[in-house]
Parts: sequence; structure tokens; C-alpha cells
Amino acid sequence: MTHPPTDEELMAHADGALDAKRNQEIAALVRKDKVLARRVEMFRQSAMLVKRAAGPLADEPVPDALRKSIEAKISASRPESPNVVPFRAKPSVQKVQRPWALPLAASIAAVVAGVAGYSLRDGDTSGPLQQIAVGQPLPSAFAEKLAAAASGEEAQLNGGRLRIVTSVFDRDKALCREFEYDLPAADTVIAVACRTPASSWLTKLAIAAPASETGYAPASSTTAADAYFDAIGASEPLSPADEKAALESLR
Amino acid sequence: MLPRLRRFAISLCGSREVADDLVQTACEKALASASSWTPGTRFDAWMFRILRNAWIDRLRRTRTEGIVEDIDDHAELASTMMGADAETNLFLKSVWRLIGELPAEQREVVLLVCVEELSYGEAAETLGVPMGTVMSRLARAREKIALGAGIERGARR
Repeated sequence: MTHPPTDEELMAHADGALDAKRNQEIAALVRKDKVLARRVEMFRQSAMLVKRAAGPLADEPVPDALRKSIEAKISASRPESPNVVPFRAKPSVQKVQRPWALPLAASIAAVVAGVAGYSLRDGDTSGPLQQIAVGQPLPSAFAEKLAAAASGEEAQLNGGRLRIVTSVFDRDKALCREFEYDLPAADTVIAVACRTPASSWLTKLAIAAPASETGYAPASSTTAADAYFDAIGASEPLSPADEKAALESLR
Repeated sequence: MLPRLRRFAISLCGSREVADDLVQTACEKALASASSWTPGTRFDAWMFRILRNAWIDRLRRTRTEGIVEDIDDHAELASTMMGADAETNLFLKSVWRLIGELPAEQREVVLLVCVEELSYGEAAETLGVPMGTVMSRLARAREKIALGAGIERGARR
């Protein structure tokens, strides 16, 4: 004999938030009892009304003054020096440490302001960041590799080594790929680029990290890309099978 | 994210001007405490929490200063809301006013769950209350709106 539903359970049933067993029990009770059914319907309708009344507010354009003021705050929180703020490689990253505060703030700031991407080094006119520039499409040599190579693969490109790290989908279901690009005697660039409907790859994130002796960027430096993926609400990294399918569907 | 943050702020306080103020304050606080966000957790819930706390701070300040929290703010704003046809418009505006008439603790819950689509658990974490509290406030809020909108006349169980 199942116990009678509370008001909150009827609401949770309307919202699909009950565990399967209790949901089934309540569904059965609701089918037999018109009063319960009307109560569930009331919860459904009131949620729908609230959503319809307030929902469209997010479709309003953000006032210029507000957007500008926030962008100004973000600029103020960036470092003054035009030089690269280096990643300090940590042997293990258990929780967020001080040196990570800037990249995380950058990601958060970028998402809050709706800025297309964020780069730690502005005004860099030479080196790998010239090719991998936030807000710009990647050169075709990079784009070709991103459209075909599996994660973990490496390739020689324009005198440097490209290594693709992972693939995710962003909230709009566009394919995004994290990769590293390493020129000899230069910082390694860790970047994220997403495929656009126009078939280009737009750079969203580009960070310069000091290369270690082996020439590979330390594993912990990919934390910033993870933080960026979290900030934009991206999916979990794609499995090799899913990634293969996603790349095939690009052709 | 910025439009959603602004929507949450406007719905909480009923005024676009105050909302823009709250959004700015929230962004300042977010930038200042960026290292307190843990990657892997929901970023939007974290930002909503910061904004909501800024709103609560403001409520407390305006109350102690003797300024009455304006229910009429929502009513005034209602006349500027966009809508489909005239009838739907009127109806949704009245729903909007009802949202404004909810006690603060019910309003914030119904906005987080029904508009910003957080789960009960996420809303509970955002507000720092138990999930049971979220559910009971949410149920009360939705019942009030249903009664006020004339779509329900039943008694609660």
C-alpha cells in the first residue's frame, strides 16, 4: 500500500524530478484521482506561466552602458605588462591555486562578457600566437588537421609540432577541439578552436605556457582549457568512437 | 550568460536600473573571487548565487534605510514587457506582477527553477538551503501564482 503523495511530491512528479519508483506510484494514483490530477496540472501550468512571463527577458539586448562597464572591469583585472603572464606548472593540481586565478578569471570574464575568446597575450605580433589568434579563424594548415586527426595524434606544421588533445561539443553543439602547438625555442600554445557553420575553425582560447625540457607543455597546464570548457557549459570529452563520428560528419 | 544574469536580476528586483546595478556588482565580485569557483561545477549557478546575495544585501540596506521594498516596481515594469497579442500580453503581465508580489524567499526559488531551469538540488546549493526547503517554497510560490492567475481554486493538500 503506497502512502499518499505530498504536495511537493505532486509538484516533483509534474517536474519529472521524482525517482522512478515513486514516480510510477504517483502516476498510478493520479490516473485514478481527478483531484490529484488537477493539482499536478496546476503545478505544470504555473511553471509554464512563470517561464513565459519572465523568460523573454533574456532575449533583450544587454544595454551598451552595462556591457561596456563590465568589459572595463575585465580589462582592469588583466595584468599591466604586455609580456606573457606565464603559467606556473604545478606537479599536481588538487584544487585551484593562486597561479591559476588569472586564467580562471579570464575564462569567467570572457563568458560573463560574452567575449568571443580570451588571450593572455594581447598585441603579440610574432610567434605562434600570431597564427592562433583569439577571435580569428585558424590558418588552413591547422584547420585541415583539426578536421581530420584524432585526439592524441601529432603532426608537424609550419615548423612546429601540433598535438590534438581532446574534443568536446559546446552548448550549441558545435565541435570544439583543444590542441597544443609547440614551436622550438618558443612557448607552447594551448588553444581551443570551434568549428563554425561556415566550415572554419574559430580560435576561442589561446594561452602561452612555458615548455618543459621534453618540449611538451606540462599536463597540469591543460587545467585552463578545462576551466574554459566548464565556463562555456561544454560536454564531457568525446570518446574515440564519438569523436571519429563527429569528424566524419564534418565532411 | 550576461542576458541570463540580467534576466534573473530584473525578475528579482522588478527594475531594470536596479538590475543593471546588481549585475555590475555581481561581476565585480565574481572577478575578485574567481579562484573560489571550482572547475567542474556549474558556473551559472555560481554567478546566480553571487547576484542573489548582492540582491539580499541591497534589500537589507534599503529596509534599514526605511525605504519600502517596492512591490509596485514589478507592476511598473510590467507595462514595458514585450508580448505576443494584446490578450496574452495582459495575462502575462499579471503573472509578472504576481511574481513581484511573492515573498522574496519564494520569488528567488521560482525564478531559479522555473525560469533559469536549475534543478531543485542546484537551487538549494545556490541559495544555501536544504532541498526540502526549496521544494516547499517552490510549491507555495506556484500555488500562489496559480490562484492569482485564476487557473486554480483548490485547497492545498
